[in-house]
Amino acid sequence: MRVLSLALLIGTIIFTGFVVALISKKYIELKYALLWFFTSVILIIIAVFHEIPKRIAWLLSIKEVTNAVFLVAIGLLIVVTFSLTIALSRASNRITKLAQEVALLRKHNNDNK
Amino acid sequence: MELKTIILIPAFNEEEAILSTISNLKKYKPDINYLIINDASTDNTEFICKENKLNYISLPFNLGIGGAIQTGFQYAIENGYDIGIQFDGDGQHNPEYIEDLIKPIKDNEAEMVIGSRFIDKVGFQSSKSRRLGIIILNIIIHLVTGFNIKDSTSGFRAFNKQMMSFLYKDYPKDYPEPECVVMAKRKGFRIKEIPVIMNEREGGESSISSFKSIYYMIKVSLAVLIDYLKYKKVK
Repeated sequence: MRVLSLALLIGTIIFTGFVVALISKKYIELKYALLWFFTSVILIIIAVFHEIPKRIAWLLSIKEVTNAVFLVAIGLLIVVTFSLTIALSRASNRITKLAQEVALLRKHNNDNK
Repeated sequence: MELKTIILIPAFNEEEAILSTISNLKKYKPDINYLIINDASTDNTEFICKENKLNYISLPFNLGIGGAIQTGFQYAIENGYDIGIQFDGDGQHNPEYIEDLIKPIKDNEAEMVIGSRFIDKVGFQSSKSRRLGIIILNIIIHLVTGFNIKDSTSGFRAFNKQMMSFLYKDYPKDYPEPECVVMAKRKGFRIKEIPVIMNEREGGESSISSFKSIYYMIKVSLAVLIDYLKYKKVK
């Protein structure tokens, strides 16, 4: 467990640093970055207080604590992927609307030439 | 009062049929208002429209039939039309039924009128497997809305202003026809079906190939059920 939590801690710290670097370069929007921040904070908490995964494992009657960690990680991944689907759908709806507006505007311009 | 009417023609790769479609419409009524919505065709559709000075609009990239016709609704609303008629660019629809299609709207009997192949059962009736698919969709629509529809996939339709204002904000993207019926019914709009005779397409390909038909059925059925949850029943 010691090794796992140490690996997790180092991994999350590197990851958080990476996220910060990307935000400051404006590669990702703060809105989506918040979700990743939230994720890394949870991971750090789990890494530091390894009583938590033990408790989760006990509560769900999972034998191996590692499996409980995986469960939490998969849960977080599902949340992240789902939020991406939402963001993608919204963006594609907006792009459709824009394409329609562009077509209408271009038509309007050509008609007035 | 004369209602301003516009024929909306979504066109994706219709270079073979688009000119005859327009000349048929003009034969029917010389001063007819129409708009071709070129859905980023990869063939000569746009060139033909430009050369022949047709009234057309070109989308910057392919949006699919739903996004294309939605652009038409927006154009119709912005230009003060009272009725929009969806009309295929491939020669399947006959202009002589346009008057019949408009009549229920003029008489204030319906907000949406559908030209149906299967009321009088004459003219091109589509293949057996497609008819089966249409019957299944009709049953699903009946279960969801209680509305008896005979031709849920017909793309020969007339919409009044209210209907267009509703649809231009929210219109299904891929296979809009059956879904649109459910949305309209849930919103309390009145739909009427009238008998029409359709032809076999002149050129181009149907937006639904046989390969995709199973995907189509699953997707549309699911979409219809989602609409049932999405739109609370009015009245």
